[in-house]
Amino acid sequence: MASREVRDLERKIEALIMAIPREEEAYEFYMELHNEYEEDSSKDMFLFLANQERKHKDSLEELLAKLEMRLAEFKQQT
Amino acid sequence: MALFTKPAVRLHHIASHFTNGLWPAGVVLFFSYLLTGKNAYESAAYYCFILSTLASPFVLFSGVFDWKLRFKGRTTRIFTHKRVFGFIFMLLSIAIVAWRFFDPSAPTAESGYRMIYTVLVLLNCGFVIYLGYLGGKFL
Repeated sequence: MASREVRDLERKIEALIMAIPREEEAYEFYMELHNEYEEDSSKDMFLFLANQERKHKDSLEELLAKLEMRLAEFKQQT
Repeated sequence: MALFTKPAVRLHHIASHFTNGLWPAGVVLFFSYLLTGKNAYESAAYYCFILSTLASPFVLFSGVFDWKLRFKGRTTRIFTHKRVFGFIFMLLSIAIVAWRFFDPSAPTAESGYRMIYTVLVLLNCGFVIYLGYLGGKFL
């Protein structure tokens, strides 16, 4: 049972580790477009999208830290 | 992303297509040789194996670089498998190509080692397919 929970936590952590760089790349992609355009409405749109991706990344990192802490606690208990 | 990060990541993506494409293509050509007996198929398979082997160190080292940079070197099952099987694939590729280089008769019907050679070629194909499957999870 304990090993199943550890495995479950590790799978979740793995998913987050894989997802974070995707958010970073999406942020950079939108920022590149933001810098490419001169027209204000386009610049604003890409900046908005870039900020969304940064927020996603921050949320994922927060979740990752919590899960890693939970995993460490769980391993300590067992 | 830093100036050198993108080219390293791109190198991993590009080089892995050479290993993942050429080794299985070599296997198809090798089996064409086994079925037809035409030497041209065996030579073509051998050249595919050589090119795949030459690409494998680039795949492995750019992959490690990518893992350290983009994934901060975090250890999970998927990265461990990629490193371990990537290393095994590279070593086995070198061994197969070296064997075929020093003993060109190894894959022929006259050789007593044909079966072993075939099994190793297939086993390595299994490794590269598994590595491609793991790599696909990042897309």
